[in-house]
Formats: sequence, structure tokens, C-alpha cells
Amino acid sequence: MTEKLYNLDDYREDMQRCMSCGLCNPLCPTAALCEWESGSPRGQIQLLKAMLDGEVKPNKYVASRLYNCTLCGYCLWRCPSAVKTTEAIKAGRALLVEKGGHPESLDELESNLLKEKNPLGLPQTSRTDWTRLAKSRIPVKEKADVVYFPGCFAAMTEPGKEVAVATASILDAAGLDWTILGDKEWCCGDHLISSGKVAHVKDFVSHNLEAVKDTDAKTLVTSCPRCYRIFHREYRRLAGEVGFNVLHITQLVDDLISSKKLLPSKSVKLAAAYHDPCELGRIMKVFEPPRRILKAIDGFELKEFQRNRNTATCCGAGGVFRFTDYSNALKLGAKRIDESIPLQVDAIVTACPTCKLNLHEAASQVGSGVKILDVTEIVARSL
Amino acid sequence: MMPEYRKVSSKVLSKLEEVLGSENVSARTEELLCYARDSSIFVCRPEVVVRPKAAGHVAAVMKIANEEHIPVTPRSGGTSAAGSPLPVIGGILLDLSGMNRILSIDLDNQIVVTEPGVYCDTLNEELSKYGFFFPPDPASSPACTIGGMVNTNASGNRTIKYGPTRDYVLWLEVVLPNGKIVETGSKTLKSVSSYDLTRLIVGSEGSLGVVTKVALNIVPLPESYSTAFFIFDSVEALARAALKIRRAGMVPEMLEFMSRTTTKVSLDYAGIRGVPEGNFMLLDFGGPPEAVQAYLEKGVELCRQESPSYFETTVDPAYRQSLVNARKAALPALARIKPTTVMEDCTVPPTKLPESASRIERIPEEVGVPGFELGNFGHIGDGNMHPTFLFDSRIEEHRRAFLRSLDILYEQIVLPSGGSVTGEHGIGLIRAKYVGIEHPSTLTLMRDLKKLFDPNLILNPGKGKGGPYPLRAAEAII
Repeated sequence: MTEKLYNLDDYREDMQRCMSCGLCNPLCPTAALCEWESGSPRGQIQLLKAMLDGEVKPNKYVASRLYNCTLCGYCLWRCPSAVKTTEAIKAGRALLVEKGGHPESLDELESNLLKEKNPLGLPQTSRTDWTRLAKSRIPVKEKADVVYFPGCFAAMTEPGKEVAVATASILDAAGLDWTILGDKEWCCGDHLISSGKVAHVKDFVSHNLEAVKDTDAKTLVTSCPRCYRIFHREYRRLAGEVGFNVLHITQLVDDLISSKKLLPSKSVKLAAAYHDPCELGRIMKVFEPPRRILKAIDGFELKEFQRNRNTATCCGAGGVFRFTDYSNALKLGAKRIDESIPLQVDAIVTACPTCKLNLHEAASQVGSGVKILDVTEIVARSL
Repeated sequence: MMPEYRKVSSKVLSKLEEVLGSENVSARTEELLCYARDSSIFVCRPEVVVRPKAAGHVAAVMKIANEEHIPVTPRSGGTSAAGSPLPVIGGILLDLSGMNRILSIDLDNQIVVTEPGVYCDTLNEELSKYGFFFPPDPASSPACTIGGMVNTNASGNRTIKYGPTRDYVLWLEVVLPNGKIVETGSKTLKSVSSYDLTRLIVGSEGSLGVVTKVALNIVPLPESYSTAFFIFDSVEALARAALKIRRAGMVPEMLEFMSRTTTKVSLDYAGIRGVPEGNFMLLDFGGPPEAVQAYLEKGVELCRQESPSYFETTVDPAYRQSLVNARKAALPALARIKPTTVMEDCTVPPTKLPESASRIERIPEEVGVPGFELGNFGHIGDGNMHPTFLFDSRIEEHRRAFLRSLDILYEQIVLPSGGSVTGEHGIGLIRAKYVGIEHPSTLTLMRDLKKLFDPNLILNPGKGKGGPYPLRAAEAII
């Protein structure tokens, strides 16, 4: 089944339709890192086509180009010809994994996922460590209305844990009947899809679906835009209707504030720029909920990057780029931090634990004093 | 006659690596195939791709190529719709996209100096900080580069008011085919102290020299805009409305059109909903707010005489930008319709527009091949249209229909009406066979001129005005 779903041949007509107009190239975050045409979306399409037609064999050189991409979706959004470049790249990666040539670091990634159910290689038993940082007890119930699915980067990285803790305080403040899945939560599966290691994707999908369904929850809410997209789109593609609502935390909080079920009453004095996570914004079109939330908080001064919403610059951590090219992932993060300098802000606020982690590490590396926060942390401070 | 060219040998590769560094030279199949495409229908693979970073590098490459009789094809954005940057005879592909610095912005003298690989929109984004811009505005402005614009004498949406690229190029640094670096023109707003070699290079499609630096005149941005768009049932009525705007002595910022097929996909891409189907015309004025409003009112009145089925006016910058984006996306948006999309470029005298535009619409019917379609759009204000053929190049019958359509377009419609076979894209590969028909009395002179600059005919051979014509005719490589 996975073979059929991630088949490069499915994108043959997209590749034929691509007329090499080049509109995808100038703002592609990773094209500039490579300089050669083969490292740009337009070139990647040519490589994929050649691989499909047997003109080039899957090899390490091709892999170096096809993994030179954060799957940020800029090319997808920009293309007037509706060429599904990033989807074709994912299918191309699956072919590279099948035939050989993929980066070796991805074998370790896959091994981590199969063994510990997360891409970070941390023990699955540590998935709930963040709960000890919370002020109140984090519920692990058999049944609940809402399942909070933090995602691996919120649950298991230090900057991410702050997001999970903040989210827990928001869910409590709103008086919701909620639970986490505890160690029954596995990676959503996107790291397998993005890396081309698609053989076991369905196991992750089935496991997570069963775990959520067992709770009889009507809603799944996640901190991670990647999990949000996967549950929304990929799970439906792979397993049909999931049987519950899927929300990103900013959508839920926006709704809670507008329906007065959540009252951010304390002032949070901060001037900050909102960074649109690629997965949440450009790909899933969730632009306004995080902005409405931030505007509802007294004392908070929201500023906009010059490149915002659909043209927002990628933080550098998309896809599996942090795993295959960590130094360039941080370089891209530093570029986004540079873009905040003219705005004279105290902080960059985002709505994605992976963006937060990458921007945080990039800021440390370049010695920037700008704080990297999540929307939920601002909301939690206002309660 | 086409000269005998040599292949890129391992010795030549070593020489290229010596002058550029091995990291800037690639003969890998994976790279070559990526440089084998532009936005045209052709696929022509080079033997090696090199990435110079300075004029000195370009000069060194040209010297090697000239001594070894190896063809060299310059390229920067690779957005040509004519095949101009494709290495039809193989050889060396000179990728200038890495020479992408804006070298100076002189606001007092209103002159900028750039390298060839700077994107048009990148330059204008920088200039807008100071209230200035470089007016030629090709639809490909996000991805096309200054080098490509100079070499094709590119124009676009704003040419009706501001003129094409050549009107802004003051000075060039050019590497000649023998490797000599020369400067043409002067970095002044006026100069007649030499033959106008600058204008000779502009539009020469990389056939006379490699442009490595450009000095451009820049102008202030308009204070405000006032915009309208109309939907007409027929393309003739639309063209008549455009003619009325011209006859009234009005000079719009943009006077653009899209045929019915193009309108549908372009508005959809730009997210503009609720507009009835039909042929779209954009009328835009730039200047002081009171003036542009008055012009727009008069323009709307004139256009309404041709009974548009729908129209809207706006002074909202965001909505105006959406309309401009829709028009700029016309070509790639058309690519949603069929597997193959090929844009043509022709100009007719504005008075001939109603008749020509209508005749162009009927080409698919005349060719009579099922599945072979057309979308038209362009700069109706200056008579420049881009009939775009939509088909499947994998089907032999479609390929033949396409070639037949070119002959109808250029030989039966454009040239008999006193038009030109290219307004802004250049001859490239696609229109090489029509140059002699349009310019019978100067063809030999153009070839002699080419030989004067490039005795060994190594620079971008097989294309452009000065020939030599392709070893393989365009028909053979489609």
C-alpha cells in the first residue's frame, strides 16, 4: 500500500506540465545554499523526471539535491501551473531509499523511529517527562473529550517542553475534559514520509489512530503543525476518515478566546514578530488564529516580518533537513532571525515546537539576544 | 555555413577547472540535464556547465573556448520562452546566476550598477526603499535577471508608458568572444560620443558578447495608482477599447489583456473570484491621486463604449496587486490546462489589433486537431501579444499542429499586417526561420556584424539575429 501511495510515477504529469518558468526559485530557502540549478525546485523536477525515465540512476549525488529541501511548500504555493513539487520530491526520496543513495543519517532516524517511536532517538519512556514541569497534574485518562497530542518536538526537546507545559495550563484554564496519550503517543509518521522511509508509515498511522479512538475523544489538538497536517491530510489519505476533529492549538485557543471560555486578563508587555511556521501557514493556511490570539493580549505588540504568511521564510527545520544538514538548517534559522532585526523586537513568537527549537539554536549560535517563544507561552502568561 | 565545432575534451575541462576552480565546473549528467531547459519547448544539453563569479572568469572561459572552437551559451535566470539560453550545439554553458550583486545605487544621478544575475524584482525591491524603480516589468520579473533582460531587450506590462529595457541601459561591461573586456556607453544620462554599441548589445541574445556589468537609469515610483478591469465578450471589442485609450492620448501605466481561456485560470490562481467569464482587460494609471482618478474615469467611459459585460475600479493597492499578479501569472497558469505550454511573442501595429487578435483566436480551429488549444494574453496597449499554444508534445499530431500554427501566426497574420515576429522575447531557436522573412534586406549585414564580433561564431550559435542558423532546424528538436 505504501509503495502505491508514494510513487514517483504518480507525479509524471506534474513534471511534464512544469514549464521551467523559474518562479519557484528566487525565494526557495535551500536553492541559494546549493547554487547549482539541480538544487533548485525547477532543477529538482528535472532530476526527478530523469530518474523516472531512467536517464539517471538513483545515487548519492541525486540524493544530495533531493534532500536539499525543507519541504517548506514555497514552490507549491508559488507555482501557477500547480506542479506538486514537494510531493514529487517526497516520492523521489522514497525511490532513493528503495534503490539506494539516500543519506546515511536517515538510517539512524528510521532506527530511532522504529525503536523509540520518535525521530530524536530519546527513550519513549521520556515522552512524558515534560509533565513533571507542569504546575498541575497532567491527565492520562482512558476517556476524554479532547486528546492533547504534543508531538515529539514539544514533548521531548527542552524549548518544546515549555510549549507543552503552557498548553496544559491553557487547557486546564478553559476547563476542558482532556488527556494526553502518554507513552501511547508515537511520532505522527511525517519524519518517515519526509525522509522517504515509508515502509512503516502505516504502522504509525494505525497505532496513533487506535490510541486516539480508544479515548472516544471528539477532538485531537496538537502543538505541532506537522502533526496537524499529517492527521488532517495524510491519515485521511492512508486510512480514510479519522472520526474526530483535528485542530492546531492556535485554532482551539482562538475559538476559546472568541467564545469567552478563555480570558487572557494579565498584561504581557512584549514587542514580538510572529513567525508563520511553513506547515501551519503556507501549507495549511492557518494564518489568522495565532495573530488574533496575540492581538487579544493586553500589552503585546505584534509586528510583522516583511516576508509573512504565504511568503514567510522557512526557519530551516522543515522536512528532515535538521537531520540531513544540521549546519545549514541553523544557517537558515539565522537568516530568519536577521529578518527580525529591522523590526526591533524583543522576541520572535511562533506556533511550532520545531521552529522554536531551530530558531532558538540558531539564535544561540549567532549570539542573538532575541527570545524565541510560542504563542501558547504568551497566552499562558496572560492567564 | 555552420563552422565545425570541437567537443569539450578532458583537456578543456582541466583548463576550465584551473581558472574557475573544480567546484565551479560540472560535466555531471545530473547537472547538464537541469541546464537543458528554459521556458521554451526545447531541450538542449550542454557538455559542461561553468559558474564564473567575475568578468575575469568569463574572459578566461571565452579565451579557452575561442582557441578551442567550442560554443559558449550564456544564461542567468533561464526563463527565456524562446530557447535563447539553450546550448543547441552543446559546448560550454556559462551560468551567470552567481554574479548577482547590486554594485551601486546612485540616487542623485539616478543610476544603478548591477551584475547580470540580479533578479528584476530583487533590484526593484531594493530600489523601492528609496522611492525609485527600474520600469521594464516582464511577467517573469520575480525570476528573470537583469542580464537576460538586457540581452532580450525585455519589456512588459509597463512598456506602454516607460519603454523597454534598452531605454534604461546607459553603460555595459562586456566580455567579447576573444576574451577581451570592453565597456560600452557612458555612465551618464546623455552621451553621443561613440557608436551606440550599448544598444547593439541590448537585445542581441548573447550572440555578440557576454554582459558582465550593467548601468541602468532608474526613475521615481508613481505616487499612486488608479485601476480598472473589464470583461468583454469578444476579443475584438476589447482591442477596440484599447485603441480608444490610445487615440484619446492617454498613457496608462498598464494596458493589458487576457483572452477568455487565460482569464479563467489566471484569476483562479490569483484568488480573484466572482468575475464572469470573458476576455479581461486591465487599465492602470500611475501618478498624483487626483490626476490618476480623472484619467481612470475618462478611460472607463471610453471602454464602456465597447459594452464590456463587467467592470470594476479600485484604488486599493492590495487588490490592484492581485490583478497584476493574475496577469503576470498568465503563462504558467495556462500550463494547468495541457501537458505542454508554449508561449509565442508577436507585435502588430495597434490599429491591426482587433483583426489580428480575432484571427489568432481562430488558429486552433484552422489547424483542426482535437486537444490542440490556445490561450492569448499580452500587452494590448502596444500591440504585443503572446499567443500560447496548449497541447501534448508527446503526441506527433500535436507537434505538427504546433509548427503549422507558428507558420500561420507569423507568416499569415503578423507579418502581412506589418508586425514583427518578436516584441520582447527575442528570436531564440523558435523564431529563427522567420528572421529572413521579416528582414530580407539586412540579414547579410546582421551576419557580417556577428562575424565582426565573433569570427569563430562560438557565442550562442544557432540562434538570434546574426545566425548562423541551427545545425538542426527547430522542427527537428521539438
